[in-house]
Amino acid sequence: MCSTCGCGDTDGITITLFNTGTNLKPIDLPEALSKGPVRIATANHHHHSHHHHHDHGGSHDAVGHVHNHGAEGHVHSHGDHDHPHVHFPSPKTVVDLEVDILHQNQLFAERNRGYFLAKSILAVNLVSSPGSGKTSLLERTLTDLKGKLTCSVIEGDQQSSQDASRIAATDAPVVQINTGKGCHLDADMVSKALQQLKPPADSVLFIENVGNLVCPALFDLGEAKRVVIISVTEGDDKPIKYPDMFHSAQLCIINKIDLLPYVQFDVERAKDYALQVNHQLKFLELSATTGQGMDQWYQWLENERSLAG
Amino acid sequence: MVGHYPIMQVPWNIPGYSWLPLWLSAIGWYAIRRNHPAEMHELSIVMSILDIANNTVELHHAKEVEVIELDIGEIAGIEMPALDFAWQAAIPGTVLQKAERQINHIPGIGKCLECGATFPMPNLYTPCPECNSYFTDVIAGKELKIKSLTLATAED
Repeated sequence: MCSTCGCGDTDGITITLFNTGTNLKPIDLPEALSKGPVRIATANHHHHSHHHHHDHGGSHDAVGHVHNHGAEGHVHSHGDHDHPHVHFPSPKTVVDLEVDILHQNQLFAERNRGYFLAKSILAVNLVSSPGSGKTSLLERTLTDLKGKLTCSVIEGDQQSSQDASRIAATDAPVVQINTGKGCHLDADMVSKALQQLKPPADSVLFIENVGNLVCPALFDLGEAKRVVIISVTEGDDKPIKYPDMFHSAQLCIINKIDLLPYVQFDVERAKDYALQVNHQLKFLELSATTGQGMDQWYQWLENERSLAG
Repeated sequence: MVGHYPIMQVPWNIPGYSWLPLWLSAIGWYAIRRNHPAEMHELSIVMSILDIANNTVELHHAKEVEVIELDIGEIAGIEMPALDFAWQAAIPGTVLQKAERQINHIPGIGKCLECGATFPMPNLYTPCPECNSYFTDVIAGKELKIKSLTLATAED
């Protein structure tokens, strides 16, 4: 969680490779990676200090380093390298960063994306509020597709490995990430989970995010497709109450349609609202319990898998 | 009578009184948590800002940040009260503790894909005011950026 998230310290996160029952502490990234552009220590985290010695060919004094700016223009030698630097004649320095606040997460996400691309893995990020049926949908999917499509799963929950045990019962390889106090998965957690899971080439990786329709919207995990799930036991106005999630998804699954006769859920209205937020959103209506509509979902997966390479 | 301050005369021996500090902190904690649930991505945002600030301060051998200029889009999914709360929780004791925050709130702007009009978009589901279409793209308002940092030079 160090890379983007302050929801808890790193000790709060556990990653468990489920099928072998091994309990693993999050592995530290290779040294080379931790020296990446902005892998930095924060208040609660491990601090590492590195000193950059640059030869500026100027003299250093109390106010910083000084260059001579002669009439013929200013010349200072940086040796054979170039780096952003500032002049310190005054005690204040303005650094124009123009940097995305979440760019560290974005870097990890792009690394994950490269890994998926190289191995032709279709990565699907499943997001929804708690109780919409993400895990039931996965259970059914993994059971039905056994032998047809190689699948593996990363489970994200704040606590417990309930979901991972349910998935493990279908014989699919599964890693549980417990975020502790964290309200979403981030790309760094996923990359650590991937090192445990080692999903095979040409497979489908399901990442079941923490049940939360708000926070996971902002965090790219490197997935190819983001699938938002709503169930008919929720309000049909959810898309405009939580627009960010619907705006960032490519597919919307309306689950539990077997319950439609008993609830006040207008499927068309829900779709209308969702399209107001994101006109590119596609929809699937299904019931993971009865199996109604699951074929379209498998077809979608098959299709997207073949597009993954 | 040095030492005979009123506080010393609190009858601590009354059952329950010694728990008073605990009660007060529990009430305070509840009051905060009621309005600001523990689950919020704004804390992640603040921690990311702090990471970048730490790195920049280190890179420039500076001491601390005096001014931080942020671009935050109005439809970027950030609640300002939650951000303020997370800021107060995470920033004291860091290079940002004295930093003045200058936040540029970038208004949401949409572009209609039917008629080409650009228009203010306070919500992701704002229709085009010209033709009422929802076939729109967001062209501004999703920003989440650190624009600049003004650093105070380290005292050697």
